[in-house]
Order: sequence, then C-alpha cells, then structure tokens
Amino acid sequence: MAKLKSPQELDSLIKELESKLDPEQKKISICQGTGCLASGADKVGKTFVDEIKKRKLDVKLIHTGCHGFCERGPLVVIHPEGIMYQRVKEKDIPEILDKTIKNGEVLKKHLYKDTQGNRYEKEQDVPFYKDQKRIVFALNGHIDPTRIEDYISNQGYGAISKILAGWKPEKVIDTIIKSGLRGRGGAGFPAGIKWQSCAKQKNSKKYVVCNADEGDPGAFMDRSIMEGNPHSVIEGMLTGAFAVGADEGYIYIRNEYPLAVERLQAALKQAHEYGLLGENILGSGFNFEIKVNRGGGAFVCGESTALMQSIEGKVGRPRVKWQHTVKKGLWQKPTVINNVETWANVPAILNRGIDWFTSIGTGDVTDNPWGGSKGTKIFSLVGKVNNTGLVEVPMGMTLRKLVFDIGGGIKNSKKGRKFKAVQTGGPSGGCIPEKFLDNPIDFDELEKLGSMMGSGGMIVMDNRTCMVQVARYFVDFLKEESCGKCTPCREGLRGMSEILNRIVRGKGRSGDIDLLYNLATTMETASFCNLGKTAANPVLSTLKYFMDEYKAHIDNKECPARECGDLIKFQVDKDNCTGCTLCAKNCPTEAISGERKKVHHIDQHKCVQCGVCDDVCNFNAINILSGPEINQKLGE
Amino acid sequence: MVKIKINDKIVQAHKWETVLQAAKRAGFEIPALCYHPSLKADGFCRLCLVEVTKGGKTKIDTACTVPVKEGMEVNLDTPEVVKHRKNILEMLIAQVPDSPVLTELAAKDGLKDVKLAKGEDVCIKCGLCVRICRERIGADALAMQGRGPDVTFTPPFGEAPESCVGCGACAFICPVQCIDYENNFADIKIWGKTFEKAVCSECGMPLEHTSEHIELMKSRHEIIKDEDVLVCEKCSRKNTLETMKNIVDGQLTFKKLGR
Repeated sequence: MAKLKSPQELDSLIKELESKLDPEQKKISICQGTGCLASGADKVGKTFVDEIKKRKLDVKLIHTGCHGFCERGPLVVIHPEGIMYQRVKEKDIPEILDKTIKNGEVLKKHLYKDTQGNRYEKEQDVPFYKDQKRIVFALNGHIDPTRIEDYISNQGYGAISKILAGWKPEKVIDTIIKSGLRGRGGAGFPAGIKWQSCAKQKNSKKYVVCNADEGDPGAFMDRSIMEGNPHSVIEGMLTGAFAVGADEGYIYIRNEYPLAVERLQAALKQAHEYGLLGENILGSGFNFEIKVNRGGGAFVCGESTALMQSIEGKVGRPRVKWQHTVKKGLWQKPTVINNVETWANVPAILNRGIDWFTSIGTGDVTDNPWGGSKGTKIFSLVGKVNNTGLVEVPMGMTLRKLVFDIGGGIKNSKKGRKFKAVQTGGPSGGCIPEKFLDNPIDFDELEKLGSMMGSGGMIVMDNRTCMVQVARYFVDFLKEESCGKCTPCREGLRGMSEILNRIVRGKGRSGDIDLLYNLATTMETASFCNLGKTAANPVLSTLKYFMDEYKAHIDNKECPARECGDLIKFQVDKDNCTGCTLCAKNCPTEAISGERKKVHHIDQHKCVQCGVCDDVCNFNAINILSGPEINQKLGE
Repeated sequence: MVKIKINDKIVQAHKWETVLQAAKRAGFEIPALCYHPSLKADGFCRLCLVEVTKGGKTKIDTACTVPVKEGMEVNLDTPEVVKHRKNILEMLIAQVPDSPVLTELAAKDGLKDVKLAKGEDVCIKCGLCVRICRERIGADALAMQGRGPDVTFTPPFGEAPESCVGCGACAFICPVQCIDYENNFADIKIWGKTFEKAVCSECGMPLEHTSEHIELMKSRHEIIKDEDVLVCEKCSRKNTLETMKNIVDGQLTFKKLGR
C-alpha cells in the first residue's frame, strides 16, 4: 500500500473504506481474546473457517479481540442481527451455520441464560452488556485487530487526520483538559494537565510512554485493549506526541502478554506502511516513532520511575524524583507517561468532542479538571460473581448495579452465599463493604471509602471469603513484589505478612492489631514510592470495615467466614445427610466413610479442610465449625 | 542562596542543597544511615524523615531527597516524625539486632522494646556499598540483588567479583561495618579475594592501594601518573626534600624540573 501523504488522503481512505461496509452483510465475529482462547476459541475460529469454506457460504468471518464476557467464552456474535452464542464448541459449528446462518433460526441452547432461567437472543439485551457504555471497547467485538483497514473504516486515525490538518498543539491540550480525562492507571491525574506541563518544556527531546505493565491480580483490561484494538492506543500516543512535541514513544508492556505484544507489533508495522508513523506523518512534518519495550514481570515496574529505569536498561527500581517526570523523565528528558486506557480514550474524545465526553460521568470539570470523573472506566469484574469479565461503564455507576445487574449477582446464592465486599484497585486498593453498595464509583468516591480506582480490578467477595485471608494474600503478593529498596515497604510488609499469617493460623496475639496499625501508618507516610505508600491499604480497609473478623480470629480462634483451614473443622449434619455418598466419593483424602443411605462420618485425623464435601453436597449436610463450637460439637 | 526555616531558625542554604545538607551545615542533627556527602542521595533508609511545609502544603518526607526552596519550613522533631522514625528504627533493629549504631539511635529516640519478630541479619540494606563502588570508585563490582525482604548487596552471583579492585571503599562506607575486610601489611582481603598491594617503586615497601585499584584510577583520571602514585609516603617526602634542597643549592631550577 502507498504511504498516505496528507490528511486529505487519509480522510478519503476513511470514506472509501467506510462506504465498503455493508450494514446488511452477514458477519460472524468470534472472540479471540485471551479469555476465550483459553476456553478453546482458537479451534472454534479455525473450524468456522473450514466449515464455511465447505458450505461456500457468503458470510464474513471476523476474528476479533476480547468481547468482555470471558465467563461465557468462546463467544460468537452473528451480525447484523446481533445474536450472541456463548460457550460455543467445535461440534456446534455445523449446526450454527446450517440453521442460523442459512435459515435465520435462533438456536436457543447456545443463548445466554441468566440465573432466573431467562434466555437472551441479542447481545445488546444480555444484562452483562445492556448497562455498559463502550467507548474504548466500542470496536473490540467488531474489528479484526490484525487489520488496520478495519480500524480505519470505523473512523480510525480520524483524530490524527483532523489534528494534522491544521490544529495547534495547544488546541489539542486544551481539548483534553476540558474533557476532564483523568489518568486511568490509578491515581487519576488529569491527562491534559500533564501534557500541558510537558509541552511547556522548550528546546528538548521529549518522550511519550504508554504504561502497559498491568500487573494487578485479577485485572486484564489493558491487555484486552491492546489485543482487541491496538491502533486506538497508537493513535492516542500519536496525538499526545503531537501535543507535547515528542518524536519518540515507548510502549512498556509485560512479556507475559505475548498476544498483546504480537498484535501491537503488527499494528505498528501496518501504521508505518500507511505512513501514520515514522517521518513526516501525513506530510505535516511531524515525526513520531514508537518502540515496544517488554518488561520482565516485575510488578514495581508499573511505578513510573521504575518503568523509566527499566526502559533505560537498568534494574527496574524506583528512583528519586528530583523533578517531575514531565520535566525530567526518561533519560532525563521531559516525558509523558499515561496508561493504555488513557491513551485509548484520546481518539474518541477528539473525534466526538468535549461536550459528548463530559456528558458521561460525574462532577463538573469546566473549571477544574479534578472536579469530577468523566467518561467511562473499564473494570475487570472477577471473583464470586456470576458474570465475570470486562465491563466498561460510565463513571458514577453504583457498585450495586455493577455487581448485581451487570455481574448477575453472587455465585451460588442458592447455597446461601451472600455479598460481603468488593476489593477495588488491586493490591493498592481496599475492600468496600456492603453498606456502600449504593455509592457511585468514581476516582474521588473510591478514595473517600479508603480504596482507590487503581487500574480497575474489581474482585467480588461473598460471605465465605475471610477478610483476614484477603489482606494476607495482598500483603504476601506485595512482599514478593516490593523492590526491597526502602525500609518501611520492605520491612513493613515482612512484619505485616508475619502477623497476618499467624492470625489466620490461630496464633494471633492481643497486641497484633495495634502493631498492624503502627506498621501501616509508617508505610503510608515514609515509603519511597507509591507501591509502599499504598501497600497498607488492603490491611487498613479490612481493619476499618471488618475489625470483628480480626478479633474473632485472635480472641476466639474463630474464622467467621469458615475459610481459614487451621481454624475450622468439618462435620456431617446428622439431620440433613441422606447418605448419597457424593462427599465420600469426592473427598481427596478418603476421610469420609459411611454406607449408602446412612449418615456419613468425617475422620478428623484424615480431613485436610479442603471443603470439597461442602461444595458437592446437595443437602446442606456439611457443617463447618470454628472457634469454641469445635470443642462443643466435636469434643470427645 | 535561599532562606529556609528549620525548627524556627532561619538558615541560609545553597539552592542546589537538600534539606539534609542545609540542616547539617547549620548544626542540626538528623539521623541518616544511607546518606554520604560524596554520593547522590537515594532515599533507602528513610530515617531522615522531617516535616516539610512548602507552598501551604505540609507533609512528611525524607530530608535527603527534598531540595531546598525559598520560604520552606522544616520541622525536625514533631511527634509524628518521631513516631515514624521510631517505627523505622524498630523495623531495622528487628532484622539487625546487634548493631551498636542502631542501638545508639534507638536510645536517643527512646525505643525500648522491639515487638516485631527478630531476624539475624547484619546488613541494614542502605545500599551505600553498591553506590560508592559504582558512583565513585567506578568498579561496579557490587549490585543490589533480589526483591522485597530477600534483597542483598553482593557481588554478582555471590561469587568473588571480577571487577573488584580491592579498594575497600564498601567496607569503609558501611555504617554498620558488616563487610568483611582485612587490611594486611602486603595485601587486602575482601569479598573472598586477596589483592596484593602495589609496592613503592623506590624502596619496595607495600603501598596503601592495590595494583588493580591504581590501574582503575589511572584509566579514569588521566592526570594520575605512575610517578605520583607508585611512591610510598616516606619516599615521596624524601624526594620532595631532595628537590627543595637542590633548588636551594642552585643545582635545579623550576625550568629544569619542567614546571
């Protein structure tokens, strides 16, 4: 293909490709995101190709990025009707092609069914999608991420064409400031203000960096953006580079995301071929080059100074910021670092305008970019909810709507599982209890509750999740991932880990809670970087909202959630047990004995407290005892 | 020069100074274990916490990493600062229980019982050894390795380091003296290696520096010549005396000396 030489040429290409799109064309879009690939989407995709060939059907097949509803993968959506089939297997494909594609017959068995038994035919009616507002993910289910033409035909690179046709950098910055776009990486710093400070630095080489070192447990939205729509990130970075006057950019991405790396590199190559990267872009005299830098899997490299150290070829540890990154960043040159999702929001804002963007979200940002949270946020909804996956919702949605409407409520609610808390913001965030379910979610509100937006991880917990275990998990994670440079983070986490581990083992001491508070406050104030400063959040927020659980562990040696293996015993309920033998068959240590149709018995010496018996029992016949109960009910 | 206020005292500071440097020069005492005037501050130990007010905002930060600014107010001993410093000291003492330096600091801040579980480390992980080796000596023989609580400061792979020149700077700068270092008559033992000392080119007596160290210095600083460094103190003095005597006797002139 020929290099595009002017914004006009790009515009006419957009128009040309757009006119070729036929809204009535039969299309099958198959999710090829990592979640669906893990459940077999690769083979499903290939089988579709073969079967369509065999049948000589006139149907367009698109291998797309992540659709979001990972729980139900592999996902297949048939356009133009928008019929969504879930958990599609290879063997289902001939039938889908013969019945749905040829005859328009909807196959009920492949439709999504909610917990009440309702089936939904169209993708947009499925509760998981219905309340979402997709800006960044808008194209994810519709385009082939490996084809730049698919992106261009959907107004792709329209923003950069518009800008290079005569905008001044100041106008771009002004637009981003007025839109109220705040950094999606966690802290929520207004992106436009950052760009403005960097643009003010004169006569220097500058860099723009995309932070794609997404490492929070349970968060995978950045990966899905890069896998599903890599060009939106590239276009965002192009815009940012033009605005601040940078000519070189880096995408710092985890090497654990091989598919994202591959798709980004392919996308960069295509953008080059079209002349959208490189020298004299669209004949405007603006040069920009992007390099992909793969990270070696250190969580701390998501911290901006550690990330820059790593790009510079040094060990990825935070360094002293004598001056802000926008003044002295990468190689001591002015640098703008934004998160993947932030960059991906930029083209949409420039294409559709400030008013459109500010109409979504909370607060008022006309005079103060900190005045609210505008636009959408992608959350990775995981944990004990029915519909796990990636959701993009307008800022200000309540947690209740997110967890119960979109997330479809708590898993196994028939077995009495109830909502307990939601952990937001990854290891630096905190746990939010039930009483705040109706609070709107935005940057400021989450911070008020002692948590944070973070990268948007959202882990839902039910009444069988022990909050001390949650705190212990995150502290142990951070202990491994702390760089070890500063005393409060290194030793504070070591100390906390020791205390929390002894509490969950029933060895907690009376002064432990004070000790935890003491360590936490010093870590918050005195740590070197934000990893250490926020590392205490999981402990502080669980102490704040679930103190009774800590006390039960320490004072009564009881785990209220019945999760801590050292504090619980399993017992068969004599009244409920029907002698179905299911528990005995599933017990991994053969600790359960009993004849068919007679009450079973658990040998406490063999039991390893794995909980399988309780999971499989259909008659609610397993009692889990903890604390003083154990002696009362099991004491021989 | 800029004016800052430290504990209500007006202090004149150079604009390139940090709060720690300005405070030290003005006679204030701030405990700091990872700071050394010859090195760039890097904020490892976090003991030099102070309360800084600038631009209407007050926060606790490390004095070694905050540059001075006109009108800045610094408080060294607010209850908050002392509390956090005590906690950090406790964290260090728990891991390195037998260090006299830490014990002395703890006594000053009134830290009595250590509630954290005790370890048996000897290193406080201040990073000075690695930094002096890299920034000043230029040998780059040591590195910070591992992550989190497992961090260590050792030569690569824990083996005798190839690029070590046996200068002993790491042992000299270590605030808790935990690096094994032997300075013998004719050799220096460090990091599992023995370095022969260079000898005086005139009398053959061992010098203070190892040959490797002299080579490294020469390669880093052109101005250093063999005749300047390969002479022991005694011979050097003798040479100087002789030269002066010759000049006085009129046998030598500065022109002849080439200076």
